[in-house]
Amino acid sequence: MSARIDAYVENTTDLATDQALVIVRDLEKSYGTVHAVRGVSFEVKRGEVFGLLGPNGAGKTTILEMVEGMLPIDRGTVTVDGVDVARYPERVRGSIGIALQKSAFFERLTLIELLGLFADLYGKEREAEQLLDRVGLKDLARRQVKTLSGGQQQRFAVAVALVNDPPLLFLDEPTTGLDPQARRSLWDLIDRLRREGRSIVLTTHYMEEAQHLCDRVAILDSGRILALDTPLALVQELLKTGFHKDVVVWPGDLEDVYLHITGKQLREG
Amino acid sequence: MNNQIRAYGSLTISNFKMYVRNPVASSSLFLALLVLLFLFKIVFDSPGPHTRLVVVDASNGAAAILIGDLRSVSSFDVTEASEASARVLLSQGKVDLEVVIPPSFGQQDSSGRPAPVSLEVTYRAGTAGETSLPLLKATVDSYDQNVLKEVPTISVSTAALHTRSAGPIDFLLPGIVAFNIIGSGLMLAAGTFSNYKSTGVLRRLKATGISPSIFVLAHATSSFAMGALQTAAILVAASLLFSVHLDLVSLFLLLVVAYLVFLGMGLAIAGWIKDPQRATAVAQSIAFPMIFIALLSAALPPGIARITKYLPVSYVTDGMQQLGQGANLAAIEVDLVWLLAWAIVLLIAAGRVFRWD
Repeated sequence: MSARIDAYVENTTDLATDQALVIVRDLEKSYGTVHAVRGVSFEVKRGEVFGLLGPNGAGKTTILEMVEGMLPIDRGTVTVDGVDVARYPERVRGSIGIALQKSAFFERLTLIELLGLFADLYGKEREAEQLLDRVGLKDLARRQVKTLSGGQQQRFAVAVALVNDPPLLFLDEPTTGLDPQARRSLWDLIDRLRREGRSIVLTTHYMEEAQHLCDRVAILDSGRILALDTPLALVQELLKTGFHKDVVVWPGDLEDVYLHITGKQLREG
Repeated sequence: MNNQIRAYGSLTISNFKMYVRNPVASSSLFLALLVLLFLFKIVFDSPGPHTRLVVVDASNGAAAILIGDLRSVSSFDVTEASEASARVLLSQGKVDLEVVIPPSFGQQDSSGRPAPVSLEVTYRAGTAGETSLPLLKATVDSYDQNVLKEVPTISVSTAALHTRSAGPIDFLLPGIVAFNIIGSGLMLAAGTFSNYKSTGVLRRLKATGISPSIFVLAHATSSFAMGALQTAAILVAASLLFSVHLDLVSLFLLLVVAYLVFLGMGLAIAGWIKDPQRATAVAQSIAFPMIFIALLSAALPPGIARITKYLPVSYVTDGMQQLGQGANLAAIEVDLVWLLAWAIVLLIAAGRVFRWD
């Protein structure tokens, strides 16, 4: 087993339980003549990080938004913690944390004011400063979202998703467009949330990210799940077919060089 | 329920903060109209043209010195006429102020002292005649003290001549505030709301699971409060700058209820239509015919007028016309009730047709 797989096994010490928090059955969605999601079924266990992977247009965001109660479901069923999403979408949305692919917030409100507003919308206690502290934005509490960098905006989106202290978080492409430092910082944050026992469903284009963060992944294309398992099991399955890649395993890669030169600390601003 | 009230309150306060922090965007039309008001003040009320006095001298020349004193005041243009001619000049607006010097002027009492007399002064309300009354009284007092050197013997009794359309401001003011309520109530509400939709702000709010009605109501409350404040500010500025002869309290009530109607329309349009440019175009295509109907209400064919009279803009026009003719709150109660009904229907519709994305 390679060093990378060893690291993965160590990283994903099983915090997940067998209890399913999200149950998706035969989910379907069409936009006119385009069949975007075709009979998708999967479960998300309590305490696991579940990844939806796939190329653009594979249906990742559509599935995510149907599970969140953000999009109407054409056919199939989704339950979140036993609640039927199609029947009670507002109730489900109020109990989960959502960081949209492109989260936008009111302009001219500061981070702390926005978190206060969202706490009021969820009917939860205002713990804005603690939340900002957790995502490393405490010093920027009086700034407005538009003045933040991309990575800071993503971390703020996660802070907003945590306002109602949800057991289940949905992160839609949380690291797209971020520099390596910002991406690593967000990985650390997601890792901490997982270790707190929260379940996380995320979509990503980055296989390295999925391998690093996810307990299980579903690989999608054309609205269908083509494979679903742990990253390790999927790799082993591939190797069983006789797959062989002629690679030189370097003890480091270009990203390691980049981070070594520019530093791992997050760039603010 | 408590959570909904909390969400409503928090959203309303947040909207206020955003308005205050972006005064140019939220109040540009209002500020432009205030500037317009000041410009009108300069154009219509600049120092310069004098107060036009017509003097009716019934004293057969005994008041020549007093009339001379009045002529010596640089801001008075004095002419003399008979009482009948003077009243015609006053009612036609050719003079601002009529001074009638009684026949007893200059006569002495039994002790040989000047007999007390009263000058009858009639001024056109809302003109320079009204504002120059203190100067007229000061001139008469000066004559009393310097020429007669007696305890005051000449008193001045005044009466206002009220005429419809006392001044340009009485025409201008309802138009300015009506423009503001259509501009900020309908157009700005539609634009802001649909901008939130297109940028994804509303999707993020949707993700919290709050009720659309709470969001619409909070937005309506903050916009309405801002609109009411702006309307009040325009009316206060107008009353400070000009002599306004409208029942301002009734006008304010009519306008804020009308604002609520246009706000309801704006929110319904923006809540229903996704594309902000399309929402603005639809808002314009509703606003401009309404302005057209308001302007030409008297000239519309009876068949069309039978239908348009139930439109909210017709009640606004009718209420303004009545207030312009000197009516008070009681006269516009029916208009207010109909407008309130329209506002309630439109705000409920805005909550129903609202779409987060």
